[in-house]
Amino acid sequence: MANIQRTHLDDLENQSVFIFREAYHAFKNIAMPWSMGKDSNVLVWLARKAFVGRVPFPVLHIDTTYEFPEMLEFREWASKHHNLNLIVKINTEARARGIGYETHDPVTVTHELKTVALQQVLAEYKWDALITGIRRDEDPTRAKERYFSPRNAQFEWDYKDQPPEFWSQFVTTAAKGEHVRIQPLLDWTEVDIWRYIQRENIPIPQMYFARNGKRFRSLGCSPITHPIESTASTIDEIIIELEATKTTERAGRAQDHYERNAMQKLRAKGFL
Amino acid sequence: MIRKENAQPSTPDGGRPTSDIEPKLKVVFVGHVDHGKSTLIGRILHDTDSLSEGKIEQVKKACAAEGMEFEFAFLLDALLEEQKQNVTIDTTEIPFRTTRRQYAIIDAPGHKEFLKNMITGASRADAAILVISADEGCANRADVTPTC
Repeated sequence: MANIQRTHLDDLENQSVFIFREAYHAFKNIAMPWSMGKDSNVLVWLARKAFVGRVPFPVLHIDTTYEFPEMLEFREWASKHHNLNLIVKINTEARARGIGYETHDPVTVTHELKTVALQQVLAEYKWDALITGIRRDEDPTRAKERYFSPRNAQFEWDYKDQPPEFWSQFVTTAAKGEHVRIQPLLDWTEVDIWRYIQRENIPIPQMYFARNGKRFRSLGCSPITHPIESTASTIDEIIIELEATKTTERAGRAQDHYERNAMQKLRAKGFL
Repeated sequence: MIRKENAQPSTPDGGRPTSDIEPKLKVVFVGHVDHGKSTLIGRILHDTDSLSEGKIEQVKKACAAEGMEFEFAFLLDALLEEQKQNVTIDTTEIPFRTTRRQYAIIDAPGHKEFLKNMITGASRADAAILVISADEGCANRADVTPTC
């Protein structure tokens, strides 16, 4: 008899595909934010698996205008490669008001150029569901998330009174102006993501691999995202590095560490 | 309980643990409010060397801000409201690993008011650990939780 073993990655993949299909069945008007980062690209890959090769809803890039040029190049290449219906949104109004990392703190800029930009584009397209690539192990407030997580019309996350979520019974309705965040990667860890990228050979930006003794472990806006010391230039080497590291994944992301509970405050107001 | 010698994280020369392919075991911690569920989990994460440097620093800062000694529960009770009231409001899931296999620990609130959050965490679990305080003995949540 063939030795077929269901692996941990198979479990995660199956669960994510299930969540994608539940979401697509429940909501009429879905979009999927795509940052071009590693988790985002796994999300696109899983969406293609869930829907037999094509992503059946628009993919949204919130462009803060502080993107790394390499990421924008990747965006152009990958959106063609995966045949994505790409929408790019910039909060031009905030940029015109002078909001930027040169003059403002990272929490304010992140809120204006990411969360408010998302509010604007959501109001325009009237999406009732957003598919996000957040994972529980990234941040302790993300660790408290639901797979289907409602946001009110003001974009607020009512973390003190989240809906129950028993045995895959999800919140599958949103009132007018409200939306539900659907989070198929919640159970994945950073190492799971890398093993899956390796197993499936998923295209990702080269900035994750070490060059001149440094690599990016997490990618965001260029002025507030810092590379780590690393010689890991292959996925195998990255996995070995992650198994030994004692540093958190988002240590190089300034907005998370600006003040106590910075992520809670950002996320309560609608940040992913 | 976890034996210390099994709890070391794998090292580059130690090869990949078999846990890579083995499905993850999800364990929920349930019990009466204030009987120490979050504290026990925090201690397990600490003793198995599963905590990052940044994490411990973050918790130290939060404890200092609340005028408290180091509190393991703050590793899981990350919401400001949870830290101020020293109570778990919502369920949290934290991955952790020994050389033998990988786990997810699910911390569930013990307070009656947050019962729906406890069940949300418990419904995802493969196994459960019921925590009962030796001082207080069985309190009302300990009677209720096993039947859920």
